[in-house]
Amino acid sequence: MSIELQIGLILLLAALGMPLFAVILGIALVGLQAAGYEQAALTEFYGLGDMPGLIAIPLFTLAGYLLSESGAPKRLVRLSDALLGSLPGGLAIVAIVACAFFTAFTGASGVTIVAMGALLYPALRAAGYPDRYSLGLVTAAGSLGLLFAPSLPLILYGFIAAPIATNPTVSVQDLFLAGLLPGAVMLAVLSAHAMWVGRAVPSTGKAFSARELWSAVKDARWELPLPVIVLAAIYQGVLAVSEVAALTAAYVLVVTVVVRR
Amino acid sequence: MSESVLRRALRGLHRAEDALLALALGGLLLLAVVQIVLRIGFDEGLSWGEPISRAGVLWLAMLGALGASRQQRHIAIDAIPRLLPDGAWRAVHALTQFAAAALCGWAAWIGWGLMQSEREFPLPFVAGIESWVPMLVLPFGFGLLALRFVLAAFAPRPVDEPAAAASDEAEGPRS
Repeated sequence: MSIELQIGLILLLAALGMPLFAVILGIALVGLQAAGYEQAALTEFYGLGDMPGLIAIPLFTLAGYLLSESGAPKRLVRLSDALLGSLPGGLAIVAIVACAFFTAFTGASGVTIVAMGALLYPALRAAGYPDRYSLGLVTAAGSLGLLFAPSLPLILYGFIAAPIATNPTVSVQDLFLAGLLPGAVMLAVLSAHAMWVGRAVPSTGKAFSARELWSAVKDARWELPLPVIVLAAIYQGVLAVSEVAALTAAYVLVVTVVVRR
Repeated sequence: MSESVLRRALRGLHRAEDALLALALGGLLLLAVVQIVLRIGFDEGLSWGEPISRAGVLWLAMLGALGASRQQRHIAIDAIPRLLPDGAWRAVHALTQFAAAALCGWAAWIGWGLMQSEREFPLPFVAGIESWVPMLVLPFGFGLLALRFVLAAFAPRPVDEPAAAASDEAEGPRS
């Protein structure tokens, strides 16, 4: 069987619902076999284990999962609501800001859309935002944090790109810095658009309340230091990204299991 | 009767996988924290810590993949299968799962060969353990995955209600 036919067969299986990891594995095996190096697919895979710092990914994922299970999304939405809920388009801006923060807390591991979307989408609908707008907003905001530290895609990109001799070399720290401005622009643009859409939504007539804000801050007091800890730890240079991930996971684990019980 | 024995064996296996996953993740976390404390506090480190944690990530990934295939939660393009009537779905599902099993089996076979050639010229991995031992993850990980996909080929069509499932998760118990 020719290699084109084999690849075509694998792509057909992909369209029919074969898990994508098996599709990638299959294409690698078929291609490398044609070149006579089929072992290379597995040595490369095993070589992943030689990358220092890859452990950051499971550890940030653990932190994100624990946070979403501990009710952190609700506390974050409450806090953003107390802060921004009285603006026109307030709830939509709350959704954007809360999603961006939660993603930053959890390394953009994909839990944001599940954890926040399930909370925010019904709220947006109930407040009178159009269905398609609400769905689109939650989906877009859920990937917003991709640009903010410590997002896993950025870390992964850094791991892959760092060994390649580019000039200047790609470092994860630089990637995090580079994400800040475009991320902030996207936040601002989405929020401006939310205000525009929000004109058509009946006002909640909710006034800003310093008391509610303070109590929301107290409610989220264990989550709030997290982005500061994570960013400070990444940039002071003593700890590697994987070590920051370990500390984040340990902090969240202790807070969730010991402090909040 | 054999049915219920099989079911119970499967449930036991799932529990063992879960325990192993939690243990591996907890162990890796503990190891990483201990290493940081040792390095910053005492300017020391466990020489076996780094290799163990690197190999551990691979083992963890394989265990996680096994867990995901148990619940059939591997990412796949489901646009076409979703539209199929039950009979056609069954055939297409069996085909794709068997194909995935075959590919995993192929990878396991190559992994076995790699491990064998490593055994002929072993290097030390960490004290008392040779370098082919962590490589066991290749044949066993992919081999078990292949087995999982063979089992999945006979699984009934899942009733999917993603929206309901997601909100259940978010509205779980608050602390």
